[in-house]
Amino acid sequence: MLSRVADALYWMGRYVERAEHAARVLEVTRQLLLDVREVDPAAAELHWQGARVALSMPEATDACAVAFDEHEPGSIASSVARARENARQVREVISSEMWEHLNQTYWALREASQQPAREDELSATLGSVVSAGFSWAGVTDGTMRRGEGWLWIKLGQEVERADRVARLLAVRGSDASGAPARSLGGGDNVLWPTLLRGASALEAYRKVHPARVDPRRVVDFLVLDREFPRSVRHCVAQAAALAGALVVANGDGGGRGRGVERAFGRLASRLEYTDVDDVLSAGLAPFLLEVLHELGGASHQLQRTYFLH
Amino acid sequence: MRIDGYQLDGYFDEMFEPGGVVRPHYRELAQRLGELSDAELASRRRMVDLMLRNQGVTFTVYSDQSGIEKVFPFDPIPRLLAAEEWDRVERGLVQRIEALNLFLRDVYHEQHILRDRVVDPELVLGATFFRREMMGFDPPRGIYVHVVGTDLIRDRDGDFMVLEDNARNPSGVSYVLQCRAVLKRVFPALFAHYGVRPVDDYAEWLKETLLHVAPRGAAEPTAVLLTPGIYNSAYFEHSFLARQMGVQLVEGRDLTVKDGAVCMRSTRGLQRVDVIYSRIDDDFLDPVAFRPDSLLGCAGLFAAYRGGAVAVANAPGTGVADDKAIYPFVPDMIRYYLKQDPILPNVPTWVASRPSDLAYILEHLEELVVKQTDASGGYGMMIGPHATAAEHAEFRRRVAAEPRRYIAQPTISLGRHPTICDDGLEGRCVDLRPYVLFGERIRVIPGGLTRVALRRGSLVVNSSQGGGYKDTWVLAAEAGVGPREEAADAQ
Repeated sequence: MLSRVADALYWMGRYVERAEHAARVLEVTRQLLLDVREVDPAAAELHWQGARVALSMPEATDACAVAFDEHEPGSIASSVARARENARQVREVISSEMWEHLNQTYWALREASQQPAREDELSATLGSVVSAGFSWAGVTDGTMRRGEGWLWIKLGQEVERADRVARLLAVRGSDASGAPARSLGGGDNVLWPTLLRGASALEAYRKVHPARVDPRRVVDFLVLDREFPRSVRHCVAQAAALAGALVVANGDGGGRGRGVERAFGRLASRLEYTDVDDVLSAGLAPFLLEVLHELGGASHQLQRTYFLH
Repeated sequence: MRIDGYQLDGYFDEMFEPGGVVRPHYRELAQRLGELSDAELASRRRMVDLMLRNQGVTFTVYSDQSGIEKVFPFDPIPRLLAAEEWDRVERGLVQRIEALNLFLRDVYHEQHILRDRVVDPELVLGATFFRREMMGFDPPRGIYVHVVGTDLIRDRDGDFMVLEDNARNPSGVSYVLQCRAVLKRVFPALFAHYGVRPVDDYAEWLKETLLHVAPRGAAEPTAVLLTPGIYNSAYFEHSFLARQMGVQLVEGRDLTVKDGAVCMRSTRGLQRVDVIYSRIDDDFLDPVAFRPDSLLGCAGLFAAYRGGAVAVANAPGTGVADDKAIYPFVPDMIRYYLKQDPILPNVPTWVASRPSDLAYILEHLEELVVKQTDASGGYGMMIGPHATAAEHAEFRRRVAAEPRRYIAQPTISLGRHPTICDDGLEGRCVDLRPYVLFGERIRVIPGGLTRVALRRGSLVVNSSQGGGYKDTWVLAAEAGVGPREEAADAQ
């Protein structure tokens, strides 16, 4: 497979995931602010700033900018546009259903951004971006051969997912000392369920822990759960498996791709043999920043090995 | 659908003789059209549009406002060519590509034809697309023009004439294949009745043509199609042909030169490329050899080509053979190199660089079609009778200032073909572009691309300027002429 094509597939996977994540986080944050703003405006502002930083948006950003500002790399519109631009370059590799689906999502979002009442409609718009992400994943799985191209898209999705969840938790889940945050307005009952919702994890969490939402357990679930598809551990383990499958797909026994597989594998086994007490004693944010650093390194090595030679 | 109110308006018509009688090979089609109700026809038209949209058969318009791609305009009434007429066309095209190829070999080597003054050396050596970098180089198997698309039109009597040769990278063949796929489903019974010669082999032929020039010694040679990228107007065709041939579609940035060989960057590392089917202009092929500002090509590619490590089709420098100033001399080339009489005549042409022709052109500018020699796609031309006084003055100034860059031809009323228009069946001007492949042997696609000027009275068939397409059927010998008892298309 051409390096340029693999590169476009990988980033298409990442950008679709990024758009879906940003839409979800933005929507749950807006819901949270509705509850908090009247009672404690200062806390509401802190919540908003936290979400903004987790989505890599600049200061003085409003919700519409996160959704629609195509010039802002952290925005949903920008991620969707970049996913489509990558898809357009590989149309003969992906299925036409995948292309059409992404194309429709792009045009629907543009239309929504031009509506006079776009702010009032924002919840509906964000909901449709999230479900577009889900159905695109379904179309991809349902129409594409499980060849090298599919592996690249999946790998992009998993890496992005791990990165986004870790980032969200690192920014929002800690106070200055790195301990799980307890002091924000509204208390744990507001923040931690919101973080779970931001990863589509609240219901899954409740099935495992029917009692009250507890910060320690949330960290355990979002970082280390073995079975939840959006936990950092699960995503990294999947990424390592996909990196291994790519080595096989490229018929490259002991060669270049092994280094990439090892980089993901090292991080995967670290997460596998860590428990939540280790995480908390290291400090949640420092721990997650290390994870993000290693993940970024593995992704960087992947790009050097396969795309930029 | 009513065909009895059809107006000939004094044009040559593909379906009707001058008296209004249906030509023998069109009888079955005319009868079938007559039987179709307007509602049936409309439903088949919708079917065509839907099929084309779903398959994404599109061309690019150069503006990014409403989503870059447009479905191409297609007329479902096929154009029919009888076997014996096609036979002559085919022989004429084979003769022409042979002569063009010998001409290119000659001008890039000994230049006999220039020394013998059959062709003015000034015209060749000063041509925009003459590549001195090709001097003295023997391309693989001695072939310069692997693919040519020759534009044919009919004169008032209905005889085919050559309007121009496209010897660099002719486009449109993907539309031929798509049109055929669609029409087979729209008129299946009619199709079977006529015994239409198939065009589906084209991609296979093209691949054989490319692999024929692979450097010797490559056990399983790799061919690629080099495209300028997704913003090029023919990108759909590039990706279509690459898929049909089963070769990689590459951009310049996918290629690199290592140890004198061209390689593509793949996830398995660098992979050797043996043949490049280039769909970018030679100017952009290699910033080292040609335009230094080009990002579309690959640095060092031309040196690898000259070193024999890779083949490029068509060869760089073939543009000198389809220059409009060289075109008037192709019949002379045929006589000079092949010692044969041309089978297909040229359109009569005045060459402005000849003083006597220049005087005639300036005097008769209002009646003539004036063309810039290094332009194409319907750009840089003026149709005298349709132009304004200001345009006449502008072209008179330009021709007088730079005679080398202009030729002129009489305004020829292209032949017409019945076409479905808003008010029923009307005559619209058509041309024909068959594609010729020069590999181990020379092969001509049966038929080719029929382009139709959809605007009433227009002579311009380019898709960028209001043109559309028809499927072209070359009939098997004897087929469709006599009356046959066969079931018509069942609904």
